Amino acid sequence: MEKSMNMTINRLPAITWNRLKMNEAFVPDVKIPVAGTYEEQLGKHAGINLGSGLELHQADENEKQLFDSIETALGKDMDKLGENFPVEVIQCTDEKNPEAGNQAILNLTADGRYGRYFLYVKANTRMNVAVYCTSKEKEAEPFFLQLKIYAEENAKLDLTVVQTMDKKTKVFSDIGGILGKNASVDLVKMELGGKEVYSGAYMDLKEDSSSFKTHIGYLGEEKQRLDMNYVARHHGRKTESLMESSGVLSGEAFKLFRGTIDFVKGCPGSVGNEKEDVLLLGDDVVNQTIPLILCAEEDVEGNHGASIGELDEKTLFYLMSRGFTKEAAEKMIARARLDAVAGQIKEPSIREKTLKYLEERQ
Amino acid sequence: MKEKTYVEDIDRSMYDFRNEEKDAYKVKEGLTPAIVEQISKEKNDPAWMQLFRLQSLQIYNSMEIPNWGPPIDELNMDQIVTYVRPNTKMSAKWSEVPDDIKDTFERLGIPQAERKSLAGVGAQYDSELVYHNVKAEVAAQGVVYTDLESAMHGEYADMIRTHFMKLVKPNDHKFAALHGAVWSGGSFVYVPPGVSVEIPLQSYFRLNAPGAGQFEHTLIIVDEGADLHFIEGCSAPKYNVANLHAGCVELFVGKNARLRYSTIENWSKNMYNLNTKRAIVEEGGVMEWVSGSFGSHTSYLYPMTILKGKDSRMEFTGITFAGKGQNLDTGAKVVHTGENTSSYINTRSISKDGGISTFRSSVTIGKNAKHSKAAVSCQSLMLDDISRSDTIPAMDIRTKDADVGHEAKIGKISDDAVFYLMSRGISEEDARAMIVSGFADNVSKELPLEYAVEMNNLIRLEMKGSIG
Repeated sequence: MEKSMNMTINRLPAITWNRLKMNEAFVPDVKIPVAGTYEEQLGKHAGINLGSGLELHQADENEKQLFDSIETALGKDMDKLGENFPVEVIQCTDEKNPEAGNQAILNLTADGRYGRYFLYVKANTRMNVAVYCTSKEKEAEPFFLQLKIYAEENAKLDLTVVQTMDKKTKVFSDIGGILGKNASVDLVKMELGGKEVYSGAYMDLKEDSSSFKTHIGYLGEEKQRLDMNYVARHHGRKTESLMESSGVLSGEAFKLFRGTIDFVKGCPGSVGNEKEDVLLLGDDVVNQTIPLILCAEEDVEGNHGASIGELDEKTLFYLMSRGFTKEAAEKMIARARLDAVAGQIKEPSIREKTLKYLEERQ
Repeated sequence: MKEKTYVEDIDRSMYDFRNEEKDAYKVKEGLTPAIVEQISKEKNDPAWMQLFRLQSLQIYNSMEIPNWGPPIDELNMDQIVTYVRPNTKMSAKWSEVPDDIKDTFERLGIPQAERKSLAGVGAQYDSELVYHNVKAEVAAQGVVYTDLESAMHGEYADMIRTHFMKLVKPNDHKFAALHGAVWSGGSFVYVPPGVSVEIPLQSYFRLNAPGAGQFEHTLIIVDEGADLHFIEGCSAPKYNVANLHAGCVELFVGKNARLRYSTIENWSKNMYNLNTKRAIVEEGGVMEWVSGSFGSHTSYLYPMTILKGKDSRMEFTGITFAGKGQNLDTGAKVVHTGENTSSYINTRSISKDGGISTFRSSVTIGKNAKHSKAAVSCQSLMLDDISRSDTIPAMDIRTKDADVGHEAKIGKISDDAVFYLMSRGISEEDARAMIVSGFADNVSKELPLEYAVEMNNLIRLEMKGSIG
């Protein structure tokens, strides 16, 4: 059996000039994670804390079929890489009492294995799932995570994924989902560490009035490489998407952000908004951004705005007139941007943990 | 149920007339070394140009068709005639141009425009220029405006050799290589240092032969402190076979010089418009593009500017109107390499009646382009739900000392605005045409009056019958 594979991931839904090297990410020689039995995989559950209204089980054939049908941001190579790994389903057991105890916290570490989770949010239920990812000390195993979401009618999912790996870890963090009528997913995604990070979310707003909102925060420093791909595909009528990303780059960090709002024919009344703010603090940073709006429907509204550069002069002047040095002012604003994203995390313990992490990083 | 607006196809009768083919010479269909050598011989190329053409052909054959743009599978180079020489020589007098060709340009309003508002005109019919003239007072300023072939053999031969396809190299992309192999016609302009050409020069390209390609090359050098406005127009009658336009424009803007390059492109809807335009701007220079894309079956058009000198700047103002059967992929590219450079890309696109409009751009700010600024604004209007409009802007920033902004918007004509105008006694058709004209205002206000009127007429024609 092959021990590694070349992966082509994070492909843009509509490609552009190849010389820009933004169409997709090519990652050579990715070490294939070693698959274990379901019981061995259960070893990972030590870091999982489920509320009383949720249950976790291995996907049965029907669930696996549904899971396999869901597209993700990183794409087919990520599915192929994980095909020998079990899929674990997290779902609500108590549909009569949908609000209570439906909270899951996953503390995952990079151990070279591949965590594949199916967040199955049943009709009229609500789930709050928070994933906190860290490196194993003194090891440089890659981290593989795939979360697929199926949200039925009127379902609501609050999802947080915070990644705080060390600078040796390669991170593959993939999300995909299908949303039913009036279902909503609110995602907070923070990329705060890792050597090479490949991440993203692909959400299919399949039925009417479904909604996907995401707040993305990232911090790139030294020689980190961040490669992201977010897609909101509007199929249903009156669907709504929002992508807000805020990041800080310093040192020789490289970042590529792909954001796509795709209005498919038959989604009248839909609205998609995308906004990106990037603060550049290093002389050798590379910031690439490619925000797409694809539109095959007349009655829609799509907007994108981006602001990229160093700290604006007015803010800098204001802070320096109050006694801050330029460096201190930049640090403060950078921290404020990431704190603002962390503040969107719904799960209190993960929110506090993230804010504390950011404080310690400063 | 809400009624849908029906938008009629454009009335192109003022462009869609054809003359009987009376060409003096044309090469066989297809693209072979023998055909390229034949063109070279016909044009009496110097040895370096003949070699250049053959090398370009090799590059063409080694390159792939782009995998990212609109489909061009139906463009079969084996069926394209790459060189058609009309049955006349170039003249500086309209009276010496054969009647049918003169009549063509008169119907397009070129001689009239020349008399009223232009400093010089070049008129190309199929592969060769048939008329070229520049006003005596402009020539007296030292301004050179001639066809490229004459320039290549005359006193500007060295200048042509130094600049020809140096900005757009044949290995840039497959159709740049094609251009390098079979180019023919086009203009050469040189504006000496400090000279300001007060009224514009214009080149007009007319392709009459069915199944032919037009590959004109425009080379403009605006020297230090000089100023020029150059206008380019193009049209063709519609045939049921594919025609191809793979022109190339290379613009050199000197220190503190300014060049405005305006284009109203109105090729017929069987045309594959795979055109390449590029400018390089020295210190303190200014490059302004004004671009209206209305015609063609398929377009790949992204004028590119390299802001090389410090304090240089660029503005691109464009509109694209994609109707039935059209797939227009347009936009702009800018590369900042000099310090303190600035660029502004401002575009509008309109899609209707099944047309596909794609805005594609790239902004690159290099590591040494400290304190540079770039802004991109693109707005798209969808006039029905059978059309398509995509926005694909890329940004690559490699210094922290940059300020880059981007905004994109996509939507439909506001019902409130139509209602407001109708409540003031304006018909729905006129109200919608008025709103679309207003939407295109970014381009029309940048054009000389006569051209702005022509552009607004095109929009009005596109919108005719838009009630339902």
